[in-house]
Amino acid sequence: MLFALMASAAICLLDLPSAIRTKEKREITIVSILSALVIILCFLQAFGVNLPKLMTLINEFFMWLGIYYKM
Amino acid sequence: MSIDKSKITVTQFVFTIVCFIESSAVLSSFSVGISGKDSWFTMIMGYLVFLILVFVISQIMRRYPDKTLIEINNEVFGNVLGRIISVFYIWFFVTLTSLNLLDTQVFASSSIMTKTPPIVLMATFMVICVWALRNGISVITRYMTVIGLLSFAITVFAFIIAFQKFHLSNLLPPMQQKPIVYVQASHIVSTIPFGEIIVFLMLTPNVSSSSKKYGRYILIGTLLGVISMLLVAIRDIGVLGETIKYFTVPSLETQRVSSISKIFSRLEVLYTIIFTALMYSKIVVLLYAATAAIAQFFKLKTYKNISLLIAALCIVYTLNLYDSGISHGLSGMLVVPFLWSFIEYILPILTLCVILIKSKFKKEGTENDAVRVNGKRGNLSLGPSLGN
Repeated sequence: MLFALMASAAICLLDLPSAIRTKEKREITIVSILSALVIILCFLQAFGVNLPKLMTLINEFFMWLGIYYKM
Repeated sequence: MSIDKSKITVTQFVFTIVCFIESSAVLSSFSVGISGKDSWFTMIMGYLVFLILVFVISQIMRRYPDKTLIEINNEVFGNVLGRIISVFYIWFFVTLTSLNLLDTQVFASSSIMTKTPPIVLMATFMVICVWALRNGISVITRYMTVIGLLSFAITVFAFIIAFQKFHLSNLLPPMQQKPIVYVQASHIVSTIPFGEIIVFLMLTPNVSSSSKKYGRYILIGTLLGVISMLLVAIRDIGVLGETIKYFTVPSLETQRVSSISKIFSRLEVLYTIIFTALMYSKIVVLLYAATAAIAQFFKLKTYKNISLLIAALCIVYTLNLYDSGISHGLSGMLVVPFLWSFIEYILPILTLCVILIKSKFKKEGTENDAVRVNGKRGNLSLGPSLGN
C-alpha cells in the first residue's frame, strides 16, 4: 500500500506537472491517461487483486502450441 | 527526429554495450543450467549466431542514422503496420526491464538484504534509474566507461584469486553431451544476452560519429563483453565443476569459496558491488529505451514526463511476471528463447528485407524517370533536326 501511495504521489507531483507545463493538450491528455492507468494498477496490486501473470500465460500458450525445448 | 537531443561519443556507446553484455555474464544460469561444463563452447556458438544480428542492425543503423527503432518502423512498414510492430518492441523493452529488475531483486533478497521487502529494493533501484533517466542519455552513458573497466578489472582479479581452487579437469572431457543440448544452450545465449542488443537501435540518433561504422562499434562492444563472459564461465566451471548446474548464481558461489590465505577471503562483496553496478547500467538503458519508445509511439515531445510512471509500471509488472521462481527458470530455458527470437531476429531481418526491396524499387523508379527525362530531351533535341 505504501508503494502504491508513494508511486501515485511521485507521478502526480513530478510527471503530471511537467506535462502540464508543456501547455499542450495532447501531451497532458496522454500523460494523464497513462498515469491513471498506472496508479490503478498500483492500487490493485496493493489491495492484493490477483493480476494475470503474463509471462506464465505466454509460457503455457507456447507449450500448448508445442514451441518449446522438451527436457 | 530524436526524442533526446543529447549526444554520446563512440566510446560511451561501445562501453554501454560492454556493460550490457557483462551484466548478463553475472547471470549466466539459464544456459549454464543446460550445458554445464561446456557452457564456454555454447557461448562462442551463441556469439557466432549473433553476428547475423550485428550485420542486420548495422545495416539498419547505416540506412537510418537519425531515426530510432519506432520511427524506422513507421517509415518502413507504414503508419498502421509500423505501429503494430512497435507495440511488440515496446512490450519487449518493458518486459526486459521488468525481468532484469526481478533478477536484481531476487539476487539482493537472497544474498545481500535478506530482510528488506522486495518492493523497497525495487522502488529504490528504480528511483535511481529514473533520476539518471531524467538527465538524458549523455548522463546515463557517462559512467559506463568506468563501470565497464571496473567490472573487467574485478573479473580478472577474481580469476586470479580463484586460481587456487581452479581445476582444469573440471572442464574435461569436452563435448560429451547430446547435440540438442548445444543447440538449446547456444540458442539461449544468442537470444538472452546477445539478441537484447536490439535495444541499441533506440540510441542510434544520439551517437555522434562522422564515420557511422555502427557494425564495428557493436562488434567491439560485444567482443569485449563476450571475453568477460568467457572468463567468468571458465573460472566458474573450473572451480565448481559439474555442480555449477545446481546454483542460481554460480559466480557468487565461486567467489565465496575463493580466497588467498586468510587475508583475502569472503570476496563475494566484490561480486555484489559489480553486480549492482552492471545491473544498474543494463536496467537504465532498457528503461530509457522503453520510455523513449512509448513517448515516440504516442508522439510526445519528451520522454521525461512519463519516466516515473513507466518505472512504476515496471515494478507492478515485475510482481506479476511469473507465479514462481521455478516457472521463471523453466521459461528462460524452454520458451523465452523462441519468443525472443521472433522479436530480436525475425522482426529486424524482416525490416531489413523491406528496406532493401523498397530501395531497389525506388532506384528502379529513379532510373526509369531518368530514362524518360533523357528520352524527352532526346526528342526535343531530335525535333529541330527532323525539321531541318
